[in-house]
Amino acid sequence: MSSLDNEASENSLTIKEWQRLSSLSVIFFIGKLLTKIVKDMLPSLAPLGVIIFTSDNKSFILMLVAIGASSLILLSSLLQYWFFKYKQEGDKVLINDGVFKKNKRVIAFDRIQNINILQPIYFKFFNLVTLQIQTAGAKGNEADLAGIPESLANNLRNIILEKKSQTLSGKYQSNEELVNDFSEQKSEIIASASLMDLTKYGISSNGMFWFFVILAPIMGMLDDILEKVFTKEDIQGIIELLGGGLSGKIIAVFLSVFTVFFLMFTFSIIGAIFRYYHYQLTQTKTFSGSNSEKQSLTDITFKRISGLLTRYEESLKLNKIQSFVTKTNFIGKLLAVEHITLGQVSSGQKNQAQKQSTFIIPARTFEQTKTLLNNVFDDSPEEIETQRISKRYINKTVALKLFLPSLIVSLPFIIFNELYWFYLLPIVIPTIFLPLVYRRWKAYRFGMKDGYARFERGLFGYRHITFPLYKVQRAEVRQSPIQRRRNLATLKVYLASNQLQMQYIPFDVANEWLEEINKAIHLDKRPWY
Amino acid sequence: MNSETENSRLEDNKLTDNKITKNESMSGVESIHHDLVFENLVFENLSENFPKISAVTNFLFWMIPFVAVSALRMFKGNDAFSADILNYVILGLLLISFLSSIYGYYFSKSCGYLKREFDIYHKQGIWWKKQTALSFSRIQHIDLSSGPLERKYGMATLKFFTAGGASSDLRIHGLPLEIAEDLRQQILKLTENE
Repeated sequence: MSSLDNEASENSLTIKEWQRLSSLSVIFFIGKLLTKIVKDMLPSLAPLGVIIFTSDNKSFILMLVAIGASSLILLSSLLQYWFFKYKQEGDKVLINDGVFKKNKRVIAFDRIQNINILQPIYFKFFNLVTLQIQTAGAKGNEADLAGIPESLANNLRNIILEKKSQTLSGKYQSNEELVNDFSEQKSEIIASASLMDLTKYGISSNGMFWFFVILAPIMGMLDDILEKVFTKEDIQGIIELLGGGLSGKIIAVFLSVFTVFFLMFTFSIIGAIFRYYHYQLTQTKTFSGSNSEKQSLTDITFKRISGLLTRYEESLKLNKIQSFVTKTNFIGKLLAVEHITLGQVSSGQKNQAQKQSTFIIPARTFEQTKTLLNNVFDDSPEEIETQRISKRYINKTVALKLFLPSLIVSLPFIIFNELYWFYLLPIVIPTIFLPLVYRRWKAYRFGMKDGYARFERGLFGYRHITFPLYKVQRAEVRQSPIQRRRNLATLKVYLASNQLQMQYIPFDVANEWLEEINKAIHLDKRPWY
Repeated sequence: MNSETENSRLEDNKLTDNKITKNESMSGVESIHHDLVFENLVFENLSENFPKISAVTNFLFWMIPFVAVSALRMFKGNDAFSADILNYVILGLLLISFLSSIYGYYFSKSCGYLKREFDIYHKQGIWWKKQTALSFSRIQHIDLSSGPLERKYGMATLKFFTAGGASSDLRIHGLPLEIAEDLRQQILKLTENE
């Protein structure tokens, strides 16, 4: 192991022979399998649980099942470890794995979207890490090299990033020879997050709720268990304890709602701390040139290190960033913090791995956001003036999304059941929701300046997106019959990271955007990726 | 490289200059210099067979359930109640077939494309209109496909793929085959130069 280690750190070119992961990677495979079972199979295992708990000799069967399951998991993890082999060949990583179904993966360096280095706590003492490779293409063409020496992982990452920037700049300045006998790197920390920041992030981001999404199947089981533990008499007892009668019931309901919220926030905060503890975002600028006089900035990379138990180390090339998204919910608004997401190329289908790897910078103040925006898009204007969308948006939303549905719902009651007070429904519902529609209308804003655009929307919280026009993939102007009568239109912008749209803007303005975007695309020769 | 870009930009401006009609104070966005008024873009028509073919295809599409339900009515519709219902369904399907065929005809007529120096425009829609602009340098690859009916009438469909998910593709149906081939070649050449 150590010889490999040395070899890896000495020669920049690494593994030519087929390599196995460290034997500790078995733990990784067990973990992977367990998460899969919990996420996909637990609900279907519920009947088995019922059988076990209703049978006569519970403990015996339970033991049998436990032994059987754990030996199966262990065996399959061992096999997975045994058949997992990897090597590097030129500018490709080759991976062979699979026990029964053999799987051969070839991942070319220039297809790699992200390289992350993770260090779970069980790898920490052995200087091992997991190298996570994500590609922009189809799902399933990513790889986790779990349990490889830290130096090797760092090396591989550096090679891959270097190769990538070479091919990129090679495409960019096709005529010039690329001989970089001079290269210098400068790193600076541009963001970090304290425990306080993370607490704020936990409360004010909805992103952390995926924690619950994973917990959901377990919650389902919890429901059954709770029902068994708390019988009707217990609940009655609690109500009695709270003073009994109607007031007791009300207090009980309030208490339980409060508990649920409290738990949600606590989990969210804990989740945030686990994921982003010791958060540090560094920006590394690489200068290179053929001689020391003529040096130019060739590459900017962001690296983020965080995590309590598992240490995550993720890098992102500046070129890859498609959009700069700031968002927060209503609590975040009160606390004056927002969270930044750097939009990267996505394959369209949202899988869990991609969702988790979204490059989030938690809990920034408005000033910090401004500096960061400048770090990411250095030629972006100081401020982009935005304008409102047409007020007709309110009319349309009230008429089509509130009045019409409530009318359709109430009509059968009026006609068949002769419940005439249902006539009120189409009036009451739009009236109740009108303030919300108004708020939403007010939050919709859009603007463009110096080759950059900004889209805003929100209700209680907000979501602001800034993106350079030349990174747009495609733009579209749509017009519904209602919009045509008022000379309005919907502008749809497709970025490689996400799709944006702005409805109810003047038709001419939408078309100007279309023109302006296309002009920016073909006049700006910078690569969009 | 730079002067080339400059030149092509000048050319582009010339190209668009011709189409300018002055239209003042259109918007509140000040930073935009609009050299081009969108409505004045002259879109190329698609194959003249396209509307007819669309009408036929749409009709045939709805004929499938029509035939199926009719067959059911013939063999199974013995009791009066179900026969009644099936009759209505058959009538409805027939109506839908005709309507969708008419819709297909006019929808196809509303479609058009325009290839400019650096981008391609596409428009479609009768009531819900849609206009798309796609710059050549953002095209990942191009598909040219042609179904049996399309082949018979010398038509093809061009599909442009861009990064950012399946929903960001642009499809142009009903192009005359030779124009489609030509467009593809031209655009491929242009994307290579990028």
